[in-house]
Amino acid sequence: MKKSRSTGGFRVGAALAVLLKWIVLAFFLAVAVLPLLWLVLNSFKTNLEIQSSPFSLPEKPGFINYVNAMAMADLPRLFLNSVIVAVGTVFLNLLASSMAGFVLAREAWKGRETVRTVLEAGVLVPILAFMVPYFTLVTRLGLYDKLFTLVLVYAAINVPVSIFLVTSFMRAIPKEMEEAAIIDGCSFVQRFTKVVLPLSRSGLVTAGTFCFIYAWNEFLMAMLLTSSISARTIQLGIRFFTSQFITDYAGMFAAIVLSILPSVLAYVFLHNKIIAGLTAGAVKG
Amino acid sequence: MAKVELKGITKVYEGNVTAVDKADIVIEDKEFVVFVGPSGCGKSTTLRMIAGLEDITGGDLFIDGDKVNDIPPKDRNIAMVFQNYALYPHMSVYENMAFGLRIRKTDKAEIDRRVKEAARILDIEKLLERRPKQLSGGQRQRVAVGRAIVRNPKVFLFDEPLSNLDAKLRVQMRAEIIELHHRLNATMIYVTHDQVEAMTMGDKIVVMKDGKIQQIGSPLYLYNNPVNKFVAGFIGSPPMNFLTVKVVEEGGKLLIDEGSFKIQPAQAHVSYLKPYVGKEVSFGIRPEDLPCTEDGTGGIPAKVTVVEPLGAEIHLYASTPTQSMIAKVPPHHLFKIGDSVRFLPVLEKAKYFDRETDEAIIPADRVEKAK
Repeated sequence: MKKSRSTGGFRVGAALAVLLKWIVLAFFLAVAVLPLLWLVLNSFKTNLEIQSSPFSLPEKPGFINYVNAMAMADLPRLFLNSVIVAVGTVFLNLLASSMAGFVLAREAWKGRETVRTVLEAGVLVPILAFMVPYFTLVTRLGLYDKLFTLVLVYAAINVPVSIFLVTSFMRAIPKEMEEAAIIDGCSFVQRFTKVVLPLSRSGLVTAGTFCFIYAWNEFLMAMLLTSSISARTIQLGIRFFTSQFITDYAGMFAAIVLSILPSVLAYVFLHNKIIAGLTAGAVKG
Repeated sequence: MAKVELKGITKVYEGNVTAVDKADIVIEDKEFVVFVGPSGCGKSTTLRMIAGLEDITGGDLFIDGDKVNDIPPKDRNIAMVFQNYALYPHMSVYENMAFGLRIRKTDKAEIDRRVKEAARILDIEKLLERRPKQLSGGQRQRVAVGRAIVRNPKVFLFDEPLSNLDAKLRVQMRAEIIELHHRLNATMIYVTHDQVEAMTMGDKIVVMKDGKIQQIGSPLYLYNNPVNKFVAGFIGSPPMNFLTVKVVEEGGKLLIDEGSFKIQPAQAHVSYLKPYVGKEVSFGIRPEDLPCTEDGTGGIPAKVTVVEPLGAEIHLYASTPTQSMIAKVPPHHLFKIGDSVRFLPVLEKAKYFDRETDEAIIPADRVEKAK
């Protein structure tokens, strides 16, 4: 009898623990998703509806806000600029960090750990601290207001994170794999391009996704280092919906939804590889 | 194919750690040589120096008469099979096997011919389109061997290639590698810590310990003529028994005295043992040279401590009041723990080792002389 009572007590305790777990999870899910949901819903409302009943469902849902946003703020041009900057950033960043990761992870040389620590310590420096140096450097070099400048700066800012991710991944590749390539006749470059790089794909995808999301969402540096529409990105375009006296919230929300779509899609399609990249070396492969 | 010569090869790592100390080995053309020894004895380091994956600190390495100390691995014309297979996971079996030839810009048709020929030899023709992760351990090992075969190298190097396989597959692959050696007639150098692999596969065995070569010779030569206690104990399974005994002279006769028994050594050994009268030596006797009887006198009286019936034979663990030993006895003996037995050692086959140096008292060649 005693035994069954204690088993029953245990069951109630376990059920409460499960319930508590779900309540906590639901809370965090709500915190993460509700603002996004609110944003999407409001992008289908009129400005009047947004101001009078911000939490209601749209009365007449339609894509008019999206059409207006595209027309008003030269969104297609800004969208294209963002694509160019994000793709260029990912390419340049992965080119540099994969090569750096290879020599840091696979080659033995004096001072390797010091160099790696210094490079990775860049993660700890707040991006705001780079603003003045970057502005001075960019203007002095005559690179102000150019898309390529954003590519260069974003790629550089992401180098510490990418090196950290790629190096961790490359370190997990068995040494014998590369030795087999040496015996097979691979040169230094071939070892990198034909063996280590393909085997680091998950790490590169992870680093590339982070880089893409950063480049796509970045606002501060784009604001600082560009001035014309030809060199500005979609995040700056969202500002065009706010003027001195009036703000077109409906158009702005539609533009924000459009602007966050690529980041969300990038994560949705690549999250498996991102997790694999982040956990590289955590367990024996 | 090629002859490989190591002359005083030494490897010293940072911090003055000597991994291999002045190794002198001659591996004849078409010979199958096995480097064997416990972990950390320097066998893999020696192999890696031959491959060119480790720099040689001292000494000279010759392949086919050419000094190759400073020649990069790709130009040494060697192929290596690794313990963990080291197959490229992003390539199919065909691509794995063809990779080395593609890097060397071999003609496409020739690559295809060689890969298919190697696949036929190894019976992996049906696996050519698969990725390594879709293969079993044995199949992966075959592909790793295939990758070596297609290159048609002067020397094949095997670094503990069977250690990741289960016992049954290991026996099968062992036979396949031996067969492959006969088929290819190639110079092969094989590293293992498993003395059974060494005994069954090698034309010649190099026994290593603490970076030093202990003895080089054919399996049977090492088995019958160990140069020291380490080789005697390492080669053979179950290992040789070592009993500490004292050499005494009684009534003009030379005897070995264990304390609980005294026996007369074989006549051929007496002259070697004479200088040790009054001293302790290690008396070595192999388990199969310890036939036993349940009664009678003489020999080594002992009590049974463990009985291991293996079907074809019994491994009998027994001990004198102070020392223990193991004997291989025929399966019809029915012993129980605690039984008294009497071993009648085949004294002509006994070995004696100096207690201070562990060297064999009856001398043997450190490097077996060529027949």
